[in-house]
Formats: sequence, C-alpha cells, structure tokens
Amino acid sequence: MIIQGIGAFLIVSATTLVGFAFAAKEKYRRNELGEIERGILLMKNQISYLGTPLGELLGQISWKTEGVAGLAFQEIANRMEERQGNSAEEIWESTWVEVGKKSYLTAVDLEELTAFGRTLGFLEKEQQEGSMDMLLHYLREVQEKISKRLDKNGRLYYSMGVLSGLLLVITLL
Amino acid sequence: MEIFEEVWRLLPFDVKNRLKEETTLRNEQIQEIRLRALRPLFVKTNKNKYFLKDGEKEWIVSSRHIKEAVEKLGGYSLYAFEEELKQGYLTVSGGHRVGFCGKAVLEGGKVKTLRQISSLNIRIAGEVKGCGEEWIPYLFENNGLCHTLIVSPPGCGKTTLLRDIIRCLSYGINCRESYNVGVVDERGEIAAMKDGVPQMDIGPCTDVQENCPKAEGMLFLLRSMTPDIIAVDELGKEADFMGVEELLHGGVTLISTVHGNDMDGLLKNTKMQTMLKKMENGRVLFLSKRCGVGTVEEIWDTQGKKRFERR
Repeated sequence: MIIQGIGAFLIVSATTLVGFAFAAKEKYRRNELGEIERGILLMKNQISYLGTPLGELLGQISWKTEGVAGLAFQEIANRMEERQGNSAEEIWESTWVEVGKKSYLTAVDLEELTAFGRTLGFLEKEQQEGSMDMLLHYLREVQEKISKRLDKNGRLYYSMGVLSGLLLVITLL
Repeated sequence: MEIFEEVWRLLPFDVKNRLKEETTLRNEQIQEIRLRALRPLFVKTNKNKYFLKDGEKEWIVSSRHIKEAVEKLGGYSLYAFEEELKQGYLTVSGGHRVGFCGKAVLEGGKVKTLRQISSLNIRIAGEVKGCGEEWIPYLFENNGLCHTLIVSPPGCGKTTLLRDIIRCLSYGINCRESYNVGVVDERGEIAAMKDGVPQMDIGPCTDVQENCPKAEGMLFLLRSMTPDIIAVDELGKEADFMGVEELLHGGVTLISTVHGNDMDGLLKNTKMQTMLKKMENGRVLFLSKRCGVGTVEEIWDTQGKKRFERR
C-alpha cells in the first residue's frame, strides 16, 4: 500500500512537472526574444545616431543583454573583431545556428534572425534601420502571442499535468 | 610583421592564402596590393611588381573577392564609413590606406557614396625609423626650427618621412632639445592610433588629434596643447591653407606634406605660393623614388636658395 502510494505520488509529480516544463519553455522563449529585442533596439540607436561599427557596438550590447542574446552578441562581436568570416551575414548566421541550439528559440525565430543578418553591414543606414524595424516587429508580435497563450493556457498546462498524472494512477490501480 | 598581420586579417581568405603561398614575396616587403574585379591580383614590393599566377594562368580576382574585402576592410559596417567612402579611401587599423574605385552615387551634384566597387588599392603603411634623422639639421636656422614642407608625387614616402621627422623632433634626435609636437592625423596614417595609443613610434612628446579635418585640428591643437610644432599630412583643400595661415600667425612651426614635383610646379599653385611667401625662411624637401622610396632630391629654403641637392 505504501509502495503504491509512493508510486502514485511520483507519477503525479512527474506529470505535473511536465506541465510546468511545457509552460516554462514558452516563458523562457519569450524572455529570450525580449532580450534579443532589447539588443536590437540598442543596436538601432547606436547605428542611427552614432554610426558605431557592428563589432564594437555588439560588444557593448552584449554587456547589457542577458542569456542567449548576450552570448550571441558577444560571440558575433569577437568574430567580427577577428574578421573570422568573409561577410557579416556569414558570421551572424553561423553564430545564431550554434547559439540557437542552446536556446528555447524555434526554427522560425532563428530563420527570422538569419534573414535579418542578410541585411547587416549595408551602406545605407535607412536600409539597416528598416530591416531592424522588421525584426523588432516580429519579435514583439511573437512575444505578444506567447503572453496571450500563457495567460490563456498557462493554468491549463499545469492542470493537464496534474490530471493526466491522476488519470494514469487511476488506470494503473 | 605585426603591422602586416593587420592586413592579413582584412584580406579575403582566398587572397590571403594565395599571397602567403607565393614564395617570391617571402623575402620582399609588400608595399601595395591591388584587387581589380576579373583581373589579375597585383602586388608591388620594395623590389618588384608582380601579377600573381595560378599555374600558367594569372590568378584572377573575382567580384566576390572584392565584395568580401570591402566588407572586411569596413569592419562589416560600411554605414560607419560613409564619409571616408565619399573621399574614396579608408584608413584601416595599422594606418594602412585602402583606396576604392567604383560607381559614384551623386546627390545634388556631389558624391554621396560609392557603389559596385570594382578596384581596391591597399597601401601598406611603412615605418622606416631613422629615415629622417639625416635631414633634421637642414630644418634649423640659427638654432630655430623652420616651417617645413615635404613635397613629392604619390608613393614617394612623404608620410613615412614626416612621421620620422616628428619622432626625431619629439625625442630631440639631432637637435638641441625635444619639442612638443601636435599631429593632426585626419586619416590615421601618421600615428595609426588604436584605442588612443599610437601604433607607430612618433615620440614621447607628441599629441595626436585623429580623425579631424586638418584646418580645425590645427586650431584645436593650438588652443588646447600649446605645441611647439604642428604636423599635418597632405595639405590640399582651401580650408587647409586657411588653417595654416592662422597657424603661421600663431607662432607655431608647421611641418607638412603636399603633392608636387618640383619648385616650379609648386609655385604655379597660387595658394601654395602665398603660403610659401608667408613661411619666412621655411624649408621645402623634394622626394623621389630615384634611389628607392623616400630619396631626398633637393632641399630649398623659401628665399629660393638651394640648401641640398642629390647628385
């Protein structure tokens, strides 16, 4: 009886954790997108008003952004300073592909970031600003969607976790 | 070699590898690398000029190579170098000058920027310590330093000689005392500043105002650093001569370079003529490549007397 009780408790705990993890994953993704948004905003201001070169400005931004965004910006800055790629696009893309593996970003997020990288380093500031605005729009839209989804389904994920655990316990018993 | 490392870093990988493979270049000093789209890679050294080969054929520079080189040279951020591109050149870390040629984009009749860059000329900055020491005594009259103008066609070593003269005067080599020298390094070629530290030896008593138009920079230094000497590279614009005029009234000695061939040619330029008249007892050094880059051919004073002539 005691063993059954412990087993049931473990099952319910595990499924509840899965529910938590599902919601947390979305939260982490939203946080990461938020940090990238902050970084891109800082980048836009620096390019528009100061005309700072990418390597230098990404190095500065990496100190002001956390998590995966900070890591990626730092890595890109280092590679640019070392001229490790033949183009800004190449460095930006390869870094996000590597860093993206350690993040909660989806393939679509990474695709948007890569598309933005294709416009990096161009001559006209206006063109640069335009592509940054497009990326910012995407980042804000996705964050908003995630927030809405979490508001709507956040509790559902937890309840689903608990309930599926209970269902499993009842079935097994 | 450390200075040249900067250039390796900035070249496209293919071009860098090809240059490193070329055994004939190992014992020579590269002075110039030219990349022209769909034409052979050209290298000029202190001894010879080469079109690099790929087996029997010439090693052709592709448009992709040019694009990559432009991206790397501009730190992947060409928007940050719009002003320099308008002028047609960019000075990169280490003081090396990169000239661009392409399709000019005009706005209101003036060059806004360059597009479709088709040719690049990378001129390696050379530091030849000691090349100016021999000429320092010629720059003095009654123990007073004279205004000095270094004149030559492009590529004869004006900037290199100017840099070494600055170093000598700053250290006090071949003169009675050391001088406070203010340098207006508009294009970053004299001192090759990096994070506020000169990469070239310009002496312990030298202050550098970098990335600043010459006329403004000269007056800025005059007000802020009380220099004994102000050195600038390549006077040419109207504003530069106006700045020089103010400087000459300010009691500071000017050392500068200018494009030209000989005294006659120099005097045909009215701005130059006026400036030379105002430089009482100044010195004019003429350089050539006759016995190698930086050969001092003649030294004149502004009274029209020849002080030195190479035979």
